[in-house]
Amino acid sequence: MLKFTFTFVLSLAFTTFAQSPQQLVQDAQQKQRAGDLEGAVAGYQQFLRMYPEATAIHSNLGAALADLGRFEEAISQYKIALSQSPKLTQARLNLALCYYKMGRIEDAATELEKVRVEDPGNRQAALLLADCYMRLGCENDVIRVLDPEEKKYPDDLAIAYLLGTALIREKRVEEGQVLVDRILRNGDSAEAHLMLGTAKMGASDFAGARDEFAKAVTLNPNLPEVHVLYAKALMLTGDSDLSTKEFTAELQVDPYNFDANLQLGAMAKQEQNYEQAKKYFVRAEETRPGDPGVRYQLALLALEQGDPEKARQTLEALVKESPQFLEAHVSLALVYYRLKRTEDSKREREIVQKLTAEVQAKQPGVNQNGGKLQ
Amino acid sequence: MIPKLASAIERRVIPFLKFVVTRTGCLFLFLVLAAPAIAAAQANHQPSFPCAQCHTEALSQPTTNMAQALETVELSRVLVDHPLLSATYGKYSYRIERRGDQSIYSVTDGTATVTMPIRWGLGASSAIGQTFVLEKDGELFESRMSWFRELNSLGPTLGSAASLPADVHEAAGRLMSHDDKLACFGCHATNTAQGTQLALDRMIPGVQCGDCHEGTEAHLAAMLRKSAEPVVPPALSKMSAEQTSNFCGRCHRTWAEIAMQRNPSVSNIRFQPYRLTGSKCYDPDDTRISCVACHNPHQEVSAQPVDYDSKCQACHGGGELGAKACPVSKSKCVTCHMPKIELPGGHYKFSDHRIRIVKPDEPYPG
Repeated sequence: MLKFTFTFVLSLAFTTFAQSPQQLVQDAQQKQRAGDLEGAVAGYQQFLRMYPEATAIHSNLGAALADLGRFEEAISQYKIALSQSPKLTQARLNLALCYYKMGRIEDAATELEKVRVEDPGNRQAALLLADCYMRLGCENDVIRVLDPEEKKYPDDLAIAYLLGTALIREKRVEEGQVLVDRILRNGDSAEAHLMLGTAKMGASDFAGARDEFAKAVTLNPNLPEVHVLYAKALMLTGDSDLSTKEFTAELQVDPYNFDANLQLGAMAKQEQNYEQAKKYFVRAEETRPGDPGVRYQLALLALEQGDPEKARQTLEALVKESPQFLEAHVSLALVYYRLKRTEDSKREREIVQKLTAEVQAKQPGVNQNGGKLQ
Repeated sequence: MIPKLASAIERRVIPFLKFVVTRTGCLFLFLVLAAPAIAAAQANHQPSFPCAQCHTEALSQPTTNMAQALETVELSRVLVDHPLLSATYGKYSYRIERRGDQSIYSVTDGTATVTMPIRWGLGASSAIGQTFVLEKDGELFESRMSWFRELNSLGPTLGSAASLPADVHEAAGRLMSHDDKLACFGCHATNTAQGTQLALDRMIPGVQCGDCHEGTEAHLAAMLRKSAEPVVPPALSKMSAEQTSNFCGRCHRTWAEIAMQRNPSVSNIRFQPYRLTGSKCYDPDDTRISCVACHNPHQEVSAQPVDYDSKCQACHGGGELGAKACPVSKSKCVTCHMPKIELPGGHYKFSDHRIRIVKPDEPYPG
């Protein structure tokens, strides 16, 4: 849809060109339309060797490369186009799409925020940006982006679905329920079951959530996140075997799904399939660079693979950044043991006990001192 | 001792031999191995347990509670010795009735009744208690009522009293998920899974040699072939205290596992590897503080405090620089330094493995 945006611009640009270059571009465009992407790429590249300042051709070449799945090269072309003309909103949107398809969700969100500034009425950009924030686990940003859109387009079920899910995840259940009801009025849909399942998960009704997600999977197995949510509910109801299959199914729909890659990596690590685990973790890290959960898993993987020093470095960095990260403290205590740094290990254990006591103190009705010495 | 051993043979050796036959398909092997075992069982003599032909530990191990951590309904002493068990809890009335070599578990609220056959008992009859695994329509359930030795009757299964059952089905028991089955049978029995798939048809009740010692099947087969280079299972005795804690902690729970659960309450008293690593004297590299320094897994655990004195004195009797000698006594150390603490709902007082100087009225050190 976005591939030929600059055709009109091109035709104007080449009125002063000699016949041959114009013919070259027209030929490349024709090949692109006919699906001969390699031919189109060759044509654009030949043209750009003669006219490297042709912004629109860089953008067209980016589109052809993206269609070939050569995202890195496409990104380079879009960046050249944008360096020459920073206000080429469509090129920026295409650049964001490339990042999105590569699983570089943070980069995609950054570009989409710029698109939103340049073109505030772009509903596609708003939806894509909200989807990015959802994948990044930033539900409040989803709400910030989509709340005004939902008021403008109350019949857009995609907006209702994303916004409703974000509201429910943020425990704003009543507001989310309004949107669930709107989707439900449109009949039995995967989106509705997905949202109901999310609400049930939030209420710790894991079996109920599992059943809702199962229906959603049946109705639309290609709905983003449907398999991963079903898989999480299956894990919580004790069927890790089927859960693995569902996480794998999610990767068929979205190879860069963060949760699926992270969970499958953890499972592969548990089965001592370390190479496979690393592949999953690396991909998860590509989606959310610097994510503490992935770095933690990579540290555990290093430990399992006999590299406690590498694990120590990562874990020390994690607890420095997030002093409340209990699991990282626990693992760091084990790493210190392994490195024969007993005093450091004892210090970490004391931190774990302190953190646990803090958590315990916040839970009303839990009796810490329930043990009666006999 | 002898009747217990014979009972163990009946429960453990014969199923093991059936397992060997199933796995090897070798009738000859069965005849060679089973005949003396059956004869010994009948005569109440020591068995010719395959591993015991070379390893004397295998003679005593079947008599331990760990070896009897799962009992079939046919052989559960709790169920055999109590042909009728009954209890009332809230509005629900429970009955476990013996019929031949089977036991039927039922619960009623006065209107509806749920009846399920018991398949297995989790926990040795001679130990703390037994929770039952029920079966209905191909699904397995953990019974909501368990038998407790201290009560000599039924009581709510540990953890079940926290919630009220919504109906008579929930009052009967909790549906076991795939992961529950893997975890429960994985610790209470041997050969329970192939990968992540449950394989109850080849399960052997209780913790058998092969549960801890990797490659026992191949080792046994090689020994029977009189192989010059038999497969030798890795030696567990060479593990450090930390490695042993983690090894035993696969079922008895590791420090890391419990620490991550963020629950420092007294309910963790039963997780000994977790408790032990909290001891001031715990040293991950010192085998004098490992699980097996005090407990021989091939023998039943001793309940006599004096039996552990030499273990404490290994360090506190001058064996470790800086380890002080107790000014009060050199005998029955564990009675003060490892106090017995009641597990709420467990009807049993566990020795606290967090070894320490216990102060009066101190809060439970989670």
